[in-house]
This record gives sequence, structure tokens and C-alpha cells, in this order.
Amino acid sequence: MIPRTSEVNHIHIRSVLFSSIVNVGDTDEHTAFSRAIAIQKYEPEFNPTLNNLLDFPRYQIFTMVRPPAIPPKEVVMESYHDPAFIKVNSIDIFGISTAAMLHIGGIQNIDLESRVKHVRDYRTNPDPKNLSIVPFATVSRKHREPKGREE
Amino acid sequence: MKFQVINHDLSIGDLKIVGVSISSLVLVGDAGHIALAAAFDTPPETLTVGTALVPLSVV
Repeated sequence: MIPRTSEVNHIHIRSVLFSSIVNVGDTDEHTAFSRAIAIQKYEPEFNPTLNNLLDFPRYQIFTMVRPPAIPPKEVVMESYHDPAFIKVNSIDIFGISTAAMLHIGGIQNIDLESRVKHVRDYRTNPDPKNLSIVPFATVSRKHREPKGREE
Repeated sequence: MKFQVINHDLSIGDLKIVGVSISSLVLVGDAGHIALAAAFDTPPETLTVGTALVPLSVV
């Protein structure tokens, strides 16, 4: 098979982060993996004791086995290109994040994986009328009283 | 089965994308085999009060 040529005149990207890449050219194989624990905290400072507590394997989402992909059906494929060009004038992307990819050119095998765990940590119960939605953690750990708190 | 494809001229003007995120792919070209996986966990149980950020199962 004669490879097709991709032609892009102009690329403008503001940010590429967390295992993401921008590739111009052909690729045989590419694998990217990203995992993240995103903590939405009330207090702006990071508590160093969290370093020991926040272990990836402690959360099920990082240990659960990825379901096996359905193996591709072997099909005899013939493709003819006339003319062998994919033309794009401009690409404008604000952000590429978390094992994502922008690829200009042909690619044979690509495997991207990302796992994200969100935790919202409030200083006090944000919804006291509906306690049932807030399962208070049974882990008994010394509750740190926030500084400068009234009452 | 024989699968025959004839590609003609492919011309695109301007692509404007806000975000490519969580194992996503923007491809200008041909591909053989693509596998994209993403696991995202934000159930109500993720909401904690205080400093106990470890999951309930780890006691």
C-alpha cells in the first residue's frame, strides 16, 4: 500500500500536557498512559501527609483490569489513493491533555489509556440538610481543625 | 472478503478544536489499529468531609 501524504499548512496549539504528544510524520507504534488523582480542596495549601495516603493502587479505578479489546477481523484491504494527499489548511487547538494526541501522518498501531479519580474534599459538609449523600469516611484519622475558623 | 477503497482528493479548510482530552486522538492521516481507553471515576462517594481522603475500602 502506498502511504498517503498529509499536508497541514498551519498548526496553533496552546497547551499539550500529561502524556500527550503532537506528532508530525508517520508512526509505527505509539502507546501513552496517564493516571491522575484530582483533588478539589477547599483549602489552597497541599497537606504533605497526603503524600503517603494518596497511593494509586488504593483506588479501584487504577487497579481494575482494562477490558480486552475485540481483536480486529482480518480483512484483505486494498486501497488506492488518487491523488495521495490529505490537505488541511489550519488546525487550531486550545488544549491537548491526559494521554491524548494530535497526529499528522499515517499511524499503524495506537494505544492510549488514561485513568482519572476525582475527590472533592470539603472543610465542612456543603449540604447539611442532605447528610445521606455524604458518606462520612469511617477511617478514623485525627481531624485537623482548619486554621482561623470561626466558632 | 476483499475490501477495496479508492481515495480521492481530501481537502479540509480550518479545524478549530477547544479540547482533545482523556485518551482522545485527532488524526490527519491513515491508521491501522486504534485502541483508546479511559476510566473516569467521580461517583457521589468521592465527596469527603475533613481530611480522610483514602477510600472507604482501605480501613
